[in-house]
Amino acid sequence: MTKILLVSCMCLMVAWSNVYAQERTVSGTVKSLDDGSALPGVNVVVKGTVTGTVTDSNGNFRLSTSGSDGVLVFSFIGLTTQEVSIGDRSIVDVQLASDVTQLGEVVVTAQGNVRQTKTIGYSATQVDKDEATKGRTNDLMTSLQGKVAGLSISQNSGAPGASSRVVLRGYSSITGNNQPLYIVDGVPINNASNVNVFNPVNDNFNSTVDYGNRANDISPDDIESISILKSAAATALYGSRAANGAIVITTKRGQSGDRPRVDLITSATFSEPLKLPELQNTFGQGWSSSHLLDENGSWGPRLDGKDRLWGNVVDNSQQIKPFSAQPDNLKDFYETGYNINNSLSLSGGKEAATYYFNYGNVVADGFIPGDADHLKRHNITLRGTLKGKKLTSDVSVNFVRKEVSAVSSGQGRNSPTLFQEIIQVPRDMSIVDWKDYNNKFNNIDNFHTRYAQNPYFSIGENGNEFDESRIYGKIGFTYQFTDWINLTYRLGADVANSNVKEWTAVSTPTPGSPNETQTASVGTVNEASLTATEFDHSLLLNSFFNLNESFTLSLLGGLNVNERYTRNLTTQVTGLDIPEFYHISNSSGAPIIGNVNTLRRLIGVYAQAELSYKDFWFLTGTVRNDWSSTLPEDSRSFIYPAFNTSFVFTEALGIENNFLNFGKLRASWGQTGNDALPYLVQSTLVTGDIYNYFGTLKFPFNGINAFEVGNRIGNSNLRPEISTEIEFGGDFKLLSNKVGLSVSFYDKRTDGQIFAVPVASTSGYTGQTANVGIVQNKGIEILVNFTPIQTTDFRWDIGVNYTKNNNKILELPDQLEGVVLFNNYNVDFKLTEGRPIGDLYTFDYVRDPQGRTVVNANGLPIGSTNKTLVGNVNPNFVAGLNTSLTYKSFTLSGTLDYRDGGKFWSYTKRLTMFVGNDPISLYNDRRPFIEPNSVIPDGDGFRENDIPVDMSNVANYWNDNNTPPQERRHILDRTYFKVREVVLTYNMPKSLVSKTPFSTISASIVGRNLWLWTPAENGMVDPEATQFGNDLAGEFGEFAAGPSARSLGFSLRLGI
Amino acid sequence: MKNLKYISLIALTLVFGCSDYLDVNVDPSNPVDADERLVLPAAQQSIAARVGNYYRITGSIWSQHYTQNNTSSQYITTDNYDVDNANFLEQDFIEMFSGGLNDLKFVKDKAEVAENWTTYLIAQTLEVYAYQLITDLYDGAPLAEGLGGKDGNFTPVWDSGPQAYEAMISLLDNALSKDFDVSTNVSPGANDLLFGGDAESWIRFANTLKLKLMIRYSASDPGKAQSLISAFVGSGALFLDTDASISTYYDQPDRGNPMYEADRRNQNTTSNLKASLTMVNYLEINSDARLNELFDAPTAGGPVKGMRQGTSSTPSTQLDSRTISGATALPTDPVYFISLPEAYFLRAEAAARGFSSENAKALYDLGVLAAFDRYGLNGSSYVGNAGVYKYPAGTVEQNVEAIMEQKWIAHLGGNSMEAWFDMLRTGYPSFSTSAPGLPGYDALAPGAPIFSFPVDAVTFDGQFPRRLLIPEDEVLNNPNAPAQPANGILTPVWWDLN
Repeated sequence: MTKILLVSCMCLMVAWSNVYAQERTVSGTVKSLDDGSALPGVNVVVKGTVTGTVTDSNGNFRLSTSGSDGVLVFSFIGLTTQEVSIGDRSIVDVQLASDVTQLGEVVVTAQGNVRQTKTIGYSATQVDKDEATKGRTNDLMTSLQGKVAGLSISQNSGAPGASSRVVLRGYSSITGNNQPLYIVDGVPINNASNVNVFNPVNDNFNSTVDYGNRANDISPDDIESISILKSAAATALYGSRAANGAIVITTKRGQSGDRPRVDLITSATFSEPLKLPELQNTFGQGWSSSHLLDENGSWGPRLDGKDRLWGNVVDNSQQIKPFSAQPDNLKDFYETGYNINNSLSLSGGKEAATYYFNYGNVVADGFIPGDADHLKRHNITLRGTLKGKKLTSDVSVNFVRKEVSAVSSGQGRNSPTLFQEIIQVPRDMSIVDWKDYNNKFNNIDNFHTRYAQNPYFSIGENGNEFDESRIYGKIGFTYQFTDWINLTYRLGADVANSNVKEWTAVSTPTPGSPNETQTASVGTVNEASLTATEFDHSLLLNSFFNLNESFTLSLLGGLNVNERYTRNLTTQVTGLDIPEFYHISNSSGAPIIGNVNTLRRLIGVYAQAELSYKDFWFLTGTVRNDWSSTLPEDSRSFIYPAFNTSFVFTEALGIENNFLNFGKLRASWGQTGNDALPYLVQSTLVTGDIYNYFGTLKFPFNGINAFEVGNRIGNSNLRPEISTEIEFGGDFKLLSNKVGLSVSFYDKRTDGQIFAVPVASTSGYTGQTANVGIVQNKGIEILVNFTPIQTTDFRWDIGVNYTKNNNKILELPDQLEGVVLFNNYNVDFKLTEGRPIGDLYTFDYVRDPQGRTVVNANGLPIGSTNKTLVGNVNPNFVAGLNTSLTYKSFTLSGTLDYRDGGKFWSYTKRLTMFVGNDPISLYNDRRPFIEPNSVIPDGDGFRENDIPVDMSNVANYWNDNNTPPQERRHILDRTYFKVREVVLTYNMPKSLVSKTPFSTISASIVGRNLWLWTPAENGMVDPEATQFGNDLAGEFGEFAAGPSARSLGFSLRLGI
Repeated sequence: MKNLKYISLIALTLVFGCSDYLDVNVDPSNPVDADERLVLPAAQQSIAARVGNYYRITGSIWSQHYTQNNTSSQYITTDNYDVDNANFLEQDFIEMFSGGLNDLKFVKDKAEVAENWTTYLIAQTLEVYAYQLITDLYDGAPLAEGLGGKDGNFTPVWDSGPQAYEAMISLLDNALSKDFDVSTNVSPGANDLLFGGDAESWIRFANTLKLKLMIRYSASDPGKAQSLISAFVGSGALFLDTDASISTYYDQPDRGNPMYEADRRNQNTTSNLKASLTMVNYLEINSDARLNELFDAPTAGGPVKGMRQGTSSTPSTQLDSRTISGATALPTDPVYFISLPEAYFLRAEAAARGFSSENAKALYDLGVLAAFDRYGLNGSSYVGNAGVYKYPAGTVEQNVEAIMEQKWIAHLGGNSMEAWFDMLRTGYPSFSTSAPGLPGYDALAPGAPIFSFPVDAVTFDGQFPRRLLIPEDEVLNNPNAPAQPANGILTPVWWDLN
């Protein structure tokens, strides 16, 4: 019987045929003999026929056979092939033993397909649950740092709950969205970053509060495996949102046929700042060599250890202390943070149904004194499957409740920010002594300097709370029409509701007090209510055929409808009538109300065909068409195809031997399209909000409302941006499987970037969203695994990954010599044709024709009118090393992470130079000097400089306000080497465990970010830290960002 | 199989059946259009935030009303003439075009279509007002081709200074020639933050602005100034009889006077702007009662005290900043586009130079009285026969000098960028290339408000700034931007012959 059914759908045709009639059905589950886990992707074939199937993600299979004396052949790379007679059974469960002579790996590919690695024509990395949970991080992605080639992960700060920046194969989008798509159990989730809720710009230096990105809500303890899909060919089926790659997460499930399992994981880790600025300890408080008791800097006299009065005179008394360095004043300020992380799961199931329940919580308080930085998170998960004769249903519900408080970084807006304050403290001052900020010497009126606020006041009185309740999950139904064709419908939802409150305290210096000229903080309260909703419908038709003895074919067709809605409502009041009462009613000022709603929809139709020949040659073709609501109607529809092929030459040519156990070559070519953000097609008016340098002038003004012409001009000619990627490589197993090697070369070009092109303001606008330019990312990824020693008791594994990505802007529009994406303190983050994304430009020295520095009338070097290139943010290469040593029950594992090259801008450097805390300020022992090799203008020419930088200008020499070329010194080398993770685990032997009520017991000592090396040029900060958000802007550098964390702790796992 | 077919068809129908399912790309948070009278207040406020904030501060520092405090540093580069093209004045330039001017274009274009001529005149007058400021700061402006983004021109060619002036005068003439009595003309009422929609006041403002433009020819082409002004004033044109200002600022965050908001409410210190000794000396010598209105008493107590221009590098051990007066600023201070004293002094200068037949002394006296009246003070004794500010019965130069000195004081707290332009154009108040206490400073007439060369200035040989560099944003994004001037900020603009 042959049937052909045509589903016509926008020129898409899916055809399939049935080659066998069915008489009886056999089903069963395939598990690993080693650990009892379900084995997905196992080939099940009726011997001597072409009837067959593969097991699903729970290891289940179902197929039809005509005879009663059939034999099922279960085969899987890396496992011993097993043949089982069916007899008259309808259920055949088997357990497969591992075959050490073979490579056995499966990977979850797009749309949840489980595939043997060897069938895949692109590089796909799968990380298992152990890697994700070993380091006891709260979020999933930072646990993978240094472990995957081509995957760059940075955490913005050491605060609990801080955002992480995840980039696959380099920055390809200059729009600022380079984050991958996160797919959990086949459904996309929301990964919005809640940074600067009230001032949602990530590329300037204003006060930044980072409540984390939503992908970090996934508890690592709930993960079964993670697939990292990097290339266009791998992600094409996920559509436009996966243009920057996809992180495909498979969560844990209950296993059928087993007794109920209970697993408990608990851990406690303790943290401290990883790196604090290395400052000078020679000179103390003052300015211009004078010991000024109200100064907030160290341009004073040499520290001599003698007792001196300090601070303001209060009630006719003054404090006294030795005028000596406090080398550890920053270190002493921080406290020990803690992080307690628990997870309890209960799972089990029978033939027809499985269940899995998990409760996890995180209670963390960072190293900033008090609870100004903390995270509390509860994760509750319920999953189940129900199997009928034909219909299988699958439900997963995840509830996350999260509370975060974070200390703001960057430049203070309504009040000073902590990190900016403490790095300026004079080197002879002990910060911890100011803890009692109500003490008469430490309070607002009398704090020793009016240029700063007592840092304990800002963390004690100002604060914020972010709380979010989120439900994400899915419900799926699969209907098995026959053993070779099924239809799946999946509804995914992700609904997050958040409330944010931020407040700053009233602090008004009393008139007549020493600090009376300090601007009063009048107090603010900000409230926000944020809603983000995503619904995702998928309809998938899967079929599988053995065409004949040699060929098998799978066909897949799908339809995807996605809707995303956000609603942000914000209210801000300034000027509190009742101090310390933080409510938006508590101000006579007009509240500033913001309301931003967005809605976007996308429809995608896709198909995939996979053809395999004799288990050694595989070919996959996919095509997807998207219709996006965010593009103009005429260019709303876009189609993109992809192909990949894999050839296992060792098997094809029969050359498998002890030197070369396995060899595979692969190649892929693919495209992905990407749509725009909503509402870029039209120009709009915006609420009147007049730029006023510091602050704004707002409407309604005196009862009059107003709108302005928006600064961004709409573009009705927008079209989708298309990325095209070609990749080829190979995977090899050598020397009796002791060595594994995987190499990938790729070249990805993203054409027609949808980007807000800066335009000259004389046009009336500052930007136009347009399709501009081509960005290329070309690179190589190498992964080597090596097992040098393997005996019964001892095993040593080493894995090295290496990534070199060359990023290049191939084309920019003609009129643009270069695009300055943004600018802070005269350092430009610039794009130039022919250069990698992210050049850093600033003022240069002005030189005479002989190359000598030209100085001004104060003897200070002059800055050039045009800025010049200092460096680029991209690394030369990154490398990671993972190793593990197992001796009997003990395993010691470690991850090292190295990044070579690239530059970043450091405000910490700038500010410490300015206040004389940076060791560089010790130049010439702080005595007057003439700028070496410098000249002054003399008529039309120049003469040798004879103007010394005198005592009143020595501080100015290091201040870029006076000496603009000094800005070049704030651009630092980004190279680092990190000991990312060290874990020592004891797995109690089964013989001992059996004497306890438990089935498994293991305990670990866990260290994260234990050691950081940076080049001498960067004595300031962890170069990963930033407060410019978790995307491209984050590469710019840091503006007094919070320090990153080093942590050490222990964990315990118990299984029943 | 049939089931499958049905499911597929139903699904496809559900999705594609609603053809407008994807038509959701209209921004629900921002309107696509609005009545021009709703955009007008934003345009006015945007110009006010330029004129009344950083242009005012820069003008007041360069006109030696104010100087930078020695224990803070916000305006240190302005005070030291260490000016590049990427500083805060660049932001003002960007905002002037993409904010105020583009909003005015929106208003003007819609008002023209609707023949709503009062609103049209308001937009045109303010547009010329803004362009004049830009032209004088940068010696040119993209008048003809600017603001063309909507029509696809993102790279406007600039007009030279003289071209821009010709264009501005004719733009004003065109707007003034409209019929304000037609029925299509609907007053913007309270949405006009300056004059409540009063057409006559705007005609006066436009005329006064036109006079200001014409007087700019006084040094470069006195003959032209003479012929333009005599015809114009002779035609009986009406000039401002009140301040052209926004005076409704109130003490609430983001609703106060722009300089107050930026300099006082939103910076970490309120003491950046100090009284310049140049101004304080002059007012003290003349026992001018305005001294205590323009400057605060020092926080350490005592009478108003000034600080030598450009001495912010003085260590606080040598100069206790609490003994120096700060610049007075209140949230309720108006922003003056053209103040009433300025209007009188413009007419007085035209008359004194013989460009018009008005009475120079009478207009001078009205100007001084209006300047005192701003603070509720009576200035009649100052201009009386025994008064220190008596209009000199002298040469044209002496008369112009007297007018410019009084205008210089009146610009403090007002549109002070204009005081600096006046100084460049007329050479008054006179200035020294030296500093008080240094050789050469006292060589000029005693008693005159002598500008001193800022002590910390980074320019050589006592050179003052005479213009601004083309902003970096314009250089980067507009290939048609003019080249930077050969001698940087020391290069004079077209009307500056001093």
